[in-house]
Amino acid sequence: MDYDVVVVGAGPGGSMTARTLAQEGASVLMVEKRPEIGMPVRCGEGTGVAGLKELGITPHPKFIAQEIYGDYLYSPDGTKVDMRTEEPNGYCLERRMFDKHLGILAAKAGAVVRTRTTATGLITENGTVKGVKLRHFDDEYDVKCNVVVGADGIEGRVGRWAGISNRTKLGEMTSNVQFELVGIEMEEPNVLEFYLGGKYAPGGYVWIFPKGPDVANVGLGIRKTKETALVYLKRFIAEHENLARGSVASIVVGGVPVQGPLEESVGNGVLLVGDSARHVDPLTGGGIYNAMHCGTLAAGVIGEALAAGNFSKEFLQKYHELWWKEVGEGLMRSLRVKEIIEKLSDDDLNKIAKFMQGMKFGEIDIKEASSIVTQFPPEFAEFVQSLL
Amino acid sequence: MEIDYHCFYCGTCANVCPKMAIELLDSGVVEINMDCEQHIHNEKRCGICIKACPVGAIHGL
Repeated sequence: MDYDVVVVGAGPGGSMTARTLAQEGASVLMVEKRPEIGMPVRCGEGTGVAGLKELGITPHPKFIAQEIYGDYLYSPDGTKVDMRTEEPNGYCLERRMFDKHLGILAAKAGAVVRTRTTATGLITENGTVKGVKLRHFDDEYDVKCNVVVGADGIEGRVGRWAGISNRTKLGEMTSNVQFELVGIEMEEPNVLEFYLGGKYAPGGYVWIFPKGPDVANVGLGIRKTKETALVYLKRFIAEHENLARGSVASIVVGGVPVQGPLEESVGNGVLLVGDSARHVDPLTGGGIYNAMHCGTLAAGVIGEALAAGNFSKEFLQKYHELWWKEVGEGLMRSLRVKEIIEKLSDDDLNKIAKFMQGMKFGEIDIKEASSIVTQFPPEFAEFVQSLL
Repeated sequence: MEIDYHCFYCGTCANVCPKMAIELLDSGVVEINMDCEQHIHNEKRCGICIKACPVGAIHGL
């Protein structure tokens, strides 16, 4: 074997997998088809404080653009729900620096990192993945390994080459466009803003993620529309004077699968991490923490597989079960909430927002959940119950 | 099928394509290969990639 493990894709999921494995003493090759890790950005760049802390990633000014203190939620008629927090509960990242930082941590831990190196196929023997075919500029070569990790994003092919279908249904893929706007005014430059409703973002929502006093990622995701996400975003910005005066410093485009997690994420000698395994929250579209956490889980199980010399699907299935327990169940809960919200009209959302206006979300105790549910009209009980 | 200059190479089309006919190359270019139904059988295109594209960069010929 050339390496114990080859990780395809150097996003947060891939880098955490590679880093954790290398720290455990495994020989790891991580390849990234792009010439630079972290570029181009395809993300709203929001993540949670608790998640980074849990994963042992120390926040650094070079990749933290803004600390976030909760959010404002706007219903279609403009009703504002105040969900701010006393303590910072999130960050708006500079993903290009964050991803590279994680890639560097993987390399420093001992993983071999090769950029501008594309996986073009898998090497299989008797139904088991035994390596990966790679291309670096004009050089095409094979690398043998015990496990291939597909962390190759939504366009990833490792899963499908291995017979694991991670294709998303068209109606469950949000189309997203985001402008990084400079020179804008925000109500508070450390609070996220979300806008709901069919007018602005059918099947999704608009987000404003501050990256500084007058800089923010303004984007939206939509589904099942005739017009493109770009058309919707330009319209939203044009209708908001405080945003319309901004200059566009960058444009981010991408799809986010909101279908829920994969039922199958492992095969003989192969497993999937991150967007390629749809470790994406179907409600929020967020997936940075999930990918990173699942990367550490994958590394743990691969480490056990290396010790046991067993790389079968049955052995690697432990990873699938682990992430389903620790992440998947939460994603399924989000999927249920998303499906309930989809059934709500703009009027329903307005009514719910009005009921939520007086609540202090940071102070809700789970013991009070049932009393909160009873405050809502009966027709929204299912929605509120799903949130709590 | 044709991809025009609006393309951001985000890979959304590659994910939703039922035929794995769209590939995001290391050169940063999106390529539609011969597995696309229209190329192989001259059938009516499925058009899923057209609908999924966030910026309207894919067109049926």
